[in-house]
Amino acid sequence: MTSEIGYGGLAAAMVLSRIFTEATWLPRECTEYGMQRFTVTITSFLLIAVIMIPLFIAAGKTAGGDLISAISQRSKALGAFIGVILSVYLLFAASETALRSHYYASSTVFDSASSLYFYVFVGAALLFAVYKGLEASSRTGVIIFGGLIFLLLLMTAALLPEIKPDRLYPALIDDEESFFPQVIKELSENAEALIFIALCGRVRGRSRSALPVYIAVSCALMLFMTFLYNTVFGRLTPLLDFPFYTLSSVSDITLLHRINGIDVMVWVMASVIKAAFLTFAFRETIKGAFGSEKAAKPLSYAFALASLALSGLFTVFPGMFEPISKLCSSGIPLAAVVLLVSSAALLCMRERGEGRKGTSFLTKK
Amino acid sequence: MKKIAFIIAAVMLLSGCAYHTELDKVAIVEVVGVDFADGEYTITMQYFNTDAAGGVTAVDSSAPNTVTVSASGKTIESALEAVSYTSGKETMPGSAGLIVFGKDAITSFRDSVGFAVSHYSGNPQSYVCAADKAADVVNVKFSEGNASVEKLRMMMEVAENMGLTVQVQLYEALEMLCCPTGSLALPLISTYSGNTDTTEDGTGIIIKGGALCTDNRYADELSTDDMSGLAFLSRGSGKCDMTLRYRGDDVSVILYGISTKITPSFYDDVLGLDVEVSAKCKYVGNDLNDPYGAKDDIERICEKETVSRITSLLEKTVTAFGADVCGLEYKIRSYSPEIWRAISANYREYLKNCRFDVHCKINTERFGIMQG
Repeated sequence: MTSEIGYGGLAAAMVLSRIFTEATWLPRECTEYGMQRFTVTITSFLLIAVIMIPLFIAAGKTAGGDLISAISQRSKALGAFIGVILSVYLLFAASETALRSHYYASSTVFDSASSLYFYVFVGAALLFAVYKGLEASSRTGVIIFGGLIFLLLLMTAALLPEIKPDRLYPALIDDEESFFPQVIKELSENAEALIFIALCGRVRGRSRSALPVYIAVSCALMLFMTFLYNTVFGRLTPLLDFPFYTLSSVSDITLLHRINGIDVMVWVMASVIKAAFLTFAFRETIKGAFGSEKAAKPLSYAFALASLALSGLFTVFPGMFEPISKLCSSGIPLAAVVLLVSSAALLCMRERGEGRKGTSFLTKK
Repeated sequence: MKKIAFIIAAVMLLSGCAYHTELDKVAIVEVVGVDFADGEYTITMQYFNTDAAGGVTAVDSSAPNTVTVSASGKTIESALEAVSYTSGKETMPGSAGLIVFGKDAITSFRDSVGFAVSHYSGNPQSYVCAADKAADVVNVKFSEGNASVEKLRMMMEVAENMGLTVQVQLYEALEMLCCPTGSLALPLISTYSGNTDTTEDGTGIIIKGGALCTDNRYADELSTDDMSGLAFLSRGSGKCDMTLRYRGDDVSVILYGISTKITPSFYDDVLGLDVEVSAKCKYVGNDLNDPYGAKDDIERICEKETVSRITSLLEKTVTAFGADVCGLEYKIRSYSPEIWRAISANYREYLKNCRFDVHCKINTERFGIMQG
């Protein structure tokens, strides 16, 4: 191990990554107005918590070891299979991150800027983050997470006169037909589980603690954002491509007339951190699944560049992106990957554990 | 240290490589007026005159502080492009502090307002108001200060503080237009020929009431009293100045700490709204012998006037058009989702047949006494 991070650092990066997805809606992915959104968020996080229980148990039993290496040590074929699936999913998640970030930045304050600038600057920042490594990126992630909390506090203070609590009403579900699809959609947006699967082996101490922290903090922040959308914009919410950006545009305090500049800054940096963590996840997957330490580093640079190129391709040919996005939005790939990895790890542990009378066999590499 | 020096040098030197527009090539828009006539939209823009800022004083008196430019097009977007072409400047409509819609331009209003937010550089905090003819308002140049928009906005802010109107921001207008009846009431500004010193050509500007928009189009004109009623029902400033007739004289009272509670009910397929307003009152009397003698009478007159203003607004909007201009939908749903479910499919008709009871309780807490 060249570097390790604390579980707080991993959790902060995962929360930042999840909230980034929430704040940068892609076209036609509008959030609804209504109390149902609160219920959808709580239900989806409860579901993801249930799905992650095996992962939580498996991570707890690895005693600092990483799951993919553990599976690979037991069965190379299964390890390689999981490695390939994870790598493909991570590549899609990274390219989607770049796509969201590009679409968001070019639709808001940089509306007349060339796409080339985005790819050059964000690409350079991403490569630099990959070069500096997991530890440095984790520290930066914590700082940006602090920036996000500062932004939220600033916006809340500025929006206090605009908050109209009578827009909240006592109901849990407004439309039964749309409820379940919305839950699944939100569930599928927790690609951060992939980051945890690949990086839990790089966490000092109790790596699994990152999961409940991630779920609780992400859920709380998303509920708070929904509260702001509902009470400030009411029925206008579904018409806004980026409700959080519009909230920051409406935020008016004496010193900073509009704080949408800070908003864009936070999300562009968050996208870099998310893409960097997905790249690190890919690197660890390659190391764990294929045992190729040497190839992992150059491959991670190639991964970062490929994700940017793929996002550029998705921008030019949205027809390519939509079917993959639709498949991922079904929640099946995410649930399948999480359950496959955790059950495979648990099974491997059980088989080996019997031979060793229940002692933990997975040790740090 | 070397790294920091490199970063500072890069920031300072590389910024020149980026595409940029000089400030005097940009029209920093203050007010946008939108009119519609003969199948064409006309956009009138007042923008800051950068050439006037080079004088000895902050505002060069030898050059106009603002420049007005106007152009037409089949759509608002094409009219905006024509304005850029006519002025020879890159226009920034997102910087506009005020957007004035002529009554005739308030058709398909949601789409019309949408132009201002379709640009991501648009300003959702811009104020929106109506005028008989928007160009007339935008063409007025105030002789004091360098930004007409500030003067216009101050006029509306003062009126709102006096409880005579309710200002509407762009995002609020859009939000109201998204509601089931697509209704809102905009402050209505009008110009008059006069000899006022505050404007360059002596034209005066007044806020003469409100413009009722419903079903996404202009419907009717509201009086100042109606707009005052709206201020009571919506958030407003929580304050209202009233001039009342008492014993043959005009007396002024100030209502403050205004609180409004709307309780919906639903019996026999009829929607009912119980409106309760309470406020504190400050009355400036001129009878030193019996300063408290008028208390009860003044309170009664205030209550009557308040009820009259609110009732008038509800009759002109809710009863006449089924228009919900004060977010009644939210209040109904917040109070009882069941009532909302029962009426939502035919909300406008339920509003037209709505029964409302308006009650008011004024409590005089302060007296200002002056020698009569």
